[in-house]
Amino acid sequence: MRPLTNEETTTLFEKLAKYIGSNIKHLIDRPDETYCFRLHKDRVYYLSEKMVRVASSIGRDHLGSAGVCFGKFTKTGKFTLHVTALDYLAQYAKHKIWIKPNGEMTYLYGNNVVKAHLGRITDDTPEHTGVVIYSMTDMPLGFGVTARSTAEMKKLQPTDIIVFHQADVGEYLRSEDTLL
Amino acid sequence: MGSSKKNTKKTTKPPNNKKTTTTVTTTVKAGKKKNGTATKSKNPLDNLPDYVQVPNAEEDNVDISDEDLAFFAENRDFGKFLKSMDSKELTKNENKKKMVASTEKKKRATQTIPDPTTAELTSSDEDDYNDDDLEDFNQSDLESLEDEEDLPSINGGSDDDDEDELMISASDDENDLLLDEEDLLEAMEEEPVKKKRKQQEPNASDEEMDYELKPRKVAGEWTKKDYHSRLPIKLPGGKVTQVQPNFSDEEKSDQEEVEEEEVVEEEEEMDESEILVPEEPERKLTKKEYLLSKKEELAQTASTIQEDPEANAGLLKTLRKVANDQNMTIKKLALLTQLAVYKDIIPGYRIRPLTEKEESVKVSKDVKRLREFEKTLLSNYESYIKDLDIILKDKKGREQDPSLVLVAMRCLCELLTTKTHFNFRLNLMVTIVSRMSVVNWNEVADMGCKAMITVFENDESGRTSLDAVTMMTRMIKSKNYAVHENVINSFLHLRLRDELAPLASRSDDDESRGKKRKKQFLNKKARKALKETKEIEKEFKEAEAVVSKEEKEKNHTETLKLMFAFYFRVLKKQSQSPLLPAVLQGLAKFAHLISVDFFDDLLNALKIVLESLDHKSSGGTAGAGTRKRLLCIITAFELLSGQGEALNYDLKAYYSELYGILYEAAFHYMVEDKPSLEHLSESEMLTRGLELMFLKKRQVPVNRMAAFIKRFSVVALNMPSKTVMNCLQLVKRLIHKDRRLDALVQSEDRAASGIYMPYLQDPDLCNPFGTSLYELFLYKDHYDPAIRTLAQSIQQPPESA
Repeated sequence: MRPLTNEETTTLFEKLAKYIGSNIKHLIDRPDETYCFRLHKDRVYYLSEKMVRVASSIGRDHLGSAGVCFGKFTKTGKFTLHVTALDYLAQYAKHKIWIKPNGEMTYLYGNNVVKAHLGRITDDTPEHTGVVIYSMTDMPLGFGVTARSTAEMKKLQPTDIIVFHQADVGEYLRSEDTLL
Repeated sequence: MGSSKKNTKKTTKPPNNKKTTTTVTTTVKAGKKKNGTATKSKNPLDNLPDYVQVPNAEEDNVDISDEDLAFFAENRDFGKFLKSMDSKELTKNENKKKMVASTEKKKRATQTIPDPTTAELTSSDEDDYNDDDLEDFNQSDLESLEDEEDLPSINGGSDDDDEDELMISASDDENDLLLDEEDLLEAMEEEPVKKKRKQQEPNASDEEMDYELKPRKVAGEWTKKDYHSRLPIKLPGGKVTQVQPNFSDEEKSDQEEVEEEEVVEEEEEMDESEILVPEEPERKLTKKEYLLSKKEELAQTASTIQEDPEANAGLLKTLRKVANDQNMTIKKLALLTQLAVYKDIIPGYRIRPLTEKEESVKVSKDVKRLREFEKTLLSNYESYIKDLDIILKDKKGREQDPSLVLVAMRCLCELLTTKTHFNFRLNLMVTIVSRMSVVNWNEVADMGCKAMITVFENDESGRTSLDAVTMMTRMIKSKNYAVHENVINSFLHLRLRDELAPLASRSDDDESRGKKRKKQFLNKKARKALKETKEIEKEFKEAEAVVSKEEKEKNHTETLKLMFAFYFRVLKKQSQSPLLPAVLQGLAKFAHLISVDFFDDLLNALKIVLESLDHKSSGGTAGAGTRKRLLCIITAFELLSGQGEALNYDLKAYYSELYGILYEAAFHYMVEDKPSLEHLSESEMLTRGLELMFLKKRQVPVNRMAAFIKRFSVVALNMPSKTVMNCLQLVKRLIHKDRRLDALVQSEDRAASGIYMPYLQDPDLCNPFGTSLYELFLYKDHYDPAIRTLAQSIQQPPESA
């Protein structure tokens, strides 16, 4: 368990900003307790200060995970967000997409979202931004990156891709082993 | 009046008579003179019955006190007089005769004093009057009466007017007196009508003398100034004379009756503004006579023209000549006379200029006469309009005589609204629209605006509206959008909504029909016959003069295009413009008529405007900026509610804006205050915005809804009870709509982790399910019982889940 270096923090926040924008401060300055990010075996964990103190008393090899795992750093220093961060991303998301019930299943299998399944979309979503995907009942299903902006989306064919799949809750079943 | 005034009986009616309330008017000025028994009408003669209805006195009500009896015993003469009254004679409607007789009828726009007393006075005073008193009344006395400027006429119409004044003037003093006598008099009273004074009987000795009823007459010498306000002048003949200032009101006398009743109102204004013209005493009479003669001339010509328009069309020119007179009164009267005449003689069709071919053809006498008439009519009409235009444009004249401008404007408006189909309509509109373009809204502009609104509302074919809108948008553009918002508000009266709505359904039918129809095989004869029948049908349709749907649609579409181009321009360039609220309102009203493609641009523009507006509050209520923001939000949601449902946009920014505004509204103690009739109060706008946001939409994120509910139940704690009512009802409906919001009211399980952040300005992030609606407990103790029950019902819904 070590705190993140500056570069790592920058990379992390840049990635997070794609999805939640300026709401990152809500992650850090929480009214109940201060939370922070810690690195352990190349994975970034999000935990409260109290928990940091407790977790630091466990040895490196014996510590499985602490807090919420947001993602991991690759060997080349890039940061990937995991589906385990979905809760927090969903809470503070800036751009949201709702997909119709008939499109849920195919997305949960790991496919990209097509225009035909689009239920609703936040106004003014630019191209290539991070969006969080919800079902029509406001249940977060995962997140992804937009292929087109909101305005252009109108002109697309029903089979065109509008959101590239990044992570979805189906991964809890599919990649059970690799998640942690 | 005098101390010798006895407790005399007056033949006056107690207040409970059932006479009509339009009684004799008080102030003795130019205005409508109402007969105590006749109702106001354009042609008073028609409404006057020959005999005035006399309500029977109710015997039961008569309470005769002992004092009164004693009095009666003493003064037997009075009783004698009463017995000798001739009821028939009294109830004969003299005014009818009078009105028929007099050529000049001055109608007075005056206030009415309390009706009963006046009514009574009429009757009693007539009986009391001596003829002698009348002669005493001269100019100066009249002036000394009430303080109004307008004095009654001294020549022909004076009798009527004098009666009025006398009665009215005495009324105030006599009020108390009358009420005492009521019971006494009831038994013996009838409802006499104004009689000619000359026919009155000499008063009994005990009755109130007429001189007691009149206000104190100030003798002419008293009012006449000791000093001379003007220096003596030297006449052309070499004589040196003293000049008496001529009172302007003298000229008010002997006004001609023009059909428009408001002539007199304008004359009133004229009176006030008229400059005192120093006149030599010798010419005083001739000026009046001159006025009189001019008026008679106008009346003569007008009636001749109206009798037989076709023959006497040439007389229109004389009317115009009179209008060029120097005297303001004559000028106005002439203009109004012309207006009345044109209104009557203009035909119901548009006169088009004759082609060469038609002119060369030999036509019958009748047709020739008609054509001549039309030609003269047109040329005179054109010059008339030009005159009006010149008057309106004349800046110098406007300062000197604003009432003339008003009269001219009124003429124009009347012509436009009543004769929209006739020629020169464009010229009329141009003038009116240019008058409306002033930034400082004045009466002239107001009249013009109202006229345009009437035109819009009465427009069947859409052609006139199109012209008007074209002109108005052009004018506004040329003025660089510096116009009053009433001009834009007039657009709201366009009849576009209803006409264009079924557009989609209709076009489908046509298309399907077009595809299915095959080209039928017709031989030559059949084709020829078909062509002929088609032509005949076309002529039939023309004759029917039914406005075709296609034409209407075309016109409406064009109008819409212009209007929306204008709206967009304002939105994009001038987000700070004061026209914004009117523009937004117009957008909201007509948004469902434009194509969905434009919605994108529109929403973008709205967002830009929203962000650029300021956040200040002023005077305990939302400032102008906040008001505009609310309007923006409401407009945006209304756009998306109609056809915009196809666009599945989630307007997050607007929600956050409203969330913020709600918070500020808690500090506005005047939140229910309506700045003017047209605008909604801030609380109403908030409620409307909330309704649009939540109730009309199918899918709103629960978190957002819950956050809003929590916030406005908190905010409403500080609001007046009506707003609280609205908020709580909204809460109730929302909870009813979405079961998940129940968690706010229940306290059973945790619906979310973390705590609620009340000061956060983002509704999505504040974690509302971490809290509950504790405020309902506070509302249960509210001072308003309705709110108490409502809060109770929210907490424990009747179905009790």
